[in-house]
Amino acid sequence: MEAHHQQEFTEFVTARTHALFRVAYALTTNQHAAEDLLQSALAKAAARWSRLTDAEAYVRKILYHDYISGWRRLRRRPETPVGVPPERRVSDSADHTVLRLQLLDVLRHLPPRQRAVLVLRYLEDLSEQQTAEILGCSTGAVASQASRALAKLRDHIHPTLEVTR
Amino acid sequence: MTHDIDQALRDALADLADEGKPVNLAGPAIRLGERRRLRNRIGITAAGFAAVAALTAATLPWHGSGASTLPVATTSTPAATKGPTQLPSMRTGPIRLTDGWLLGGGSSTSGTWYLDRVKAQYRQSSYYTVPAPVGNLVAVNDRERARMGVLDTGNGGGNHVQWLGEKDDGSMVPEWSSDGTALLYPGTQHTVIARESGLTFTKGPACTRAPRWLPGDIEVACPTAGGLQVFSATTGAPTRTLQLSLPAGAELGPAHTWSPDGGRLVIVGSNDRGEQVPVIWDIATGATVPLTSAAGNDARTAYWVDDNQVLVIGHFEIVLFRSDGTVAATWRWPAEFADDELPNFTLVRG
Repeated sequence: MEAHHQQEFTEFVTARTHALFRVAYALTTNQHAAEDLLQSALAKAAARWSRLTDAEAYVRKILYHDYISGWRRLRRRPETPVGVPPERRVSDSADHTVLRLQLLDVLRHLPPRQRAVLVLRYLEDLSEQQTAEILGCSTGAVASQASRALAKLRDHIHPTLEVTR
Repeated sequence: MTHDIDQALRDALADLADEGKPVNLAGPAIRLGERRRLRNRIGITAAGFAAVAALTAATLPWHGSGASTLPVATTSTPAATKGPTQLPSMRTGPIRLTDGWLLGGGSSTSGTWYLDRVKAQYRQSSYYTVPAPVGNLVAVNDRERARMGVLDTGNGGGNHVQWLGEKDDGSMVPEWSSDGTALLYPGTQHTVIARESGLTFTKGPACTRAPRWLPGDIEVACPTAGGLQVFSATTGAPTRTLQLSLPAGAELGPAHTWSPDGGRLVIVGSNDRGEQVPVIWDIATGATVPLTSAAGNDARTAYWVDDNQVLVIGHFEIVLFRSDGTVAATWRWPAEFADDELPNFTLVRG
C-alpha cells in the first residue's frame, strides 16, 4: 500500500471504527470475535483500497457476508456471558427492561442470517430493500428471515410482556 | 410485533452494540491486507469462471458410493523444506493433495466448485456445496431459501438436486458421515440426519452449536457448555454426555475434528505466541500440539489424513501437519480462488 493510501486508510479506520465495531459486536456478541470480523473486513478493504469508491459500504458488506458465512466460524471464540446487565435507560419501565434483557438472550442464539437481518433492520434502521442489497438476497428473503427471527423472539419472551400501547 | 417489543428490540440491539470496546485495527488490517495482496500476485492469471451450473429440483434416488478411478492432476507432495506449492487450476481435473486425499471442491462468496467423480472434473454451482468424502453425493445448501439438497453425480451426470423435506436453518456447514451415506445438518427445529435417498430422516435434539459426527458414524454430538451431548444417529435419542475438560483458553470450535482412533481432537487453542490456532488435543493426557503455519493461522477446517497427519485449511494455504505439529507440506490455493474472500475447501478421499 502506498504511503498516501495508507494514510487515507488509517484516517478512515480511525474515523469509522466506533460505528463499524458496533455492527461487528452486535453480530458476534463477543469482543474478540468482533475484532476478528472487523479486522478481516478492513484487511480486505486495505488490499483493494485504491480501487474502492465507497470504503464504508464495502466494509459493511464484507462484515455481514463474512459473519453469515459458516466457514468463518472456527475462528470464533466462545461466547462470553454478560457479567453486568446492560445499562438501563432512564425512561424504561421495569417490564421494558426485563423484556430487553430477554430479547438480548434470544438474540445471542439466533442463526447468523436472522441476526444479521435484525441488526440491519433494527440497529442500522435500513429498509428491506437496503438490507437485501447488503446481504445480496431478495427482499422476500429478508422479510422471511426477519419474520422467522421475530417469531423466535416472541416465542421466548414472557407473554405478559407483550403489551400493545 | 407490538410497539413495546419493537422498541425493546431496538434498545436491546443498541445495548448489545455498545457492550464492545472498539479497537483501532488500522495497523493489523494493513499488514493482513498486504499479505492478501502478495498472495494474490503469486502465480495468478486471470481465470474467468465458466457459466455456473444450473441446479434444478428433482427427486432421484441416491446412488451413494460409486467406486471410480479418477485421472488426477499431478501434484507432488512438496518437501517440508520447500516453500508452498501452487495447486493447479480447478480446470485441470481432480487435484490430489496427498496419498488418499483429493481436493473435493471449494466454496466462496462467488459460488462453489465441487468434484464430479464420474466426469473426473470440477463443476461449478451458485450454491454452497459439500461433496461426500467418498461416493458421488454432494450436499447442496441453498442459503437463500434455507433448504438442503443432495446432488448425485453418479445419477447420469445430471444437475438434479433432490431438495430435502427437512429445512436447514442456514447457519452451519453440513457434515457427511465418513462413508458418505448420511448427511448431518442443523434443521430449523431439530438436528437432522438424512439418509437412504433422502427419504429417511433421523431427528435429534436441536443444537445451538454445530453438531458433529463421532468416530464410527453411530453417534452424533452437540457441543454444550460442559462438553458434548451425544445422541444416536439411528434413533435421535440422547445416549450420554461427554464431559470435556478443555485446555485453558481453548474451545471445541464448530469444526472440531476427531482423530480416527477417537483419542484426540483438533480444537481451537493457542500457540506459544498467544495466537489462535488449531491444536491437537489428547483427551487422555490433556497434551496439546499447536498447528502453526508460516502463512497464517486462520484455520477453519481440519481433516485427519491418518492417526499421524492432519490437513488444515488455512487462511491462504492448505497445510499438511504431522501430529508433532511440524509442517510436512503446504499448497497454495488454485488460481480460481485467488481473489475470493475466505473460500472454504473440502477434501475427499480418493
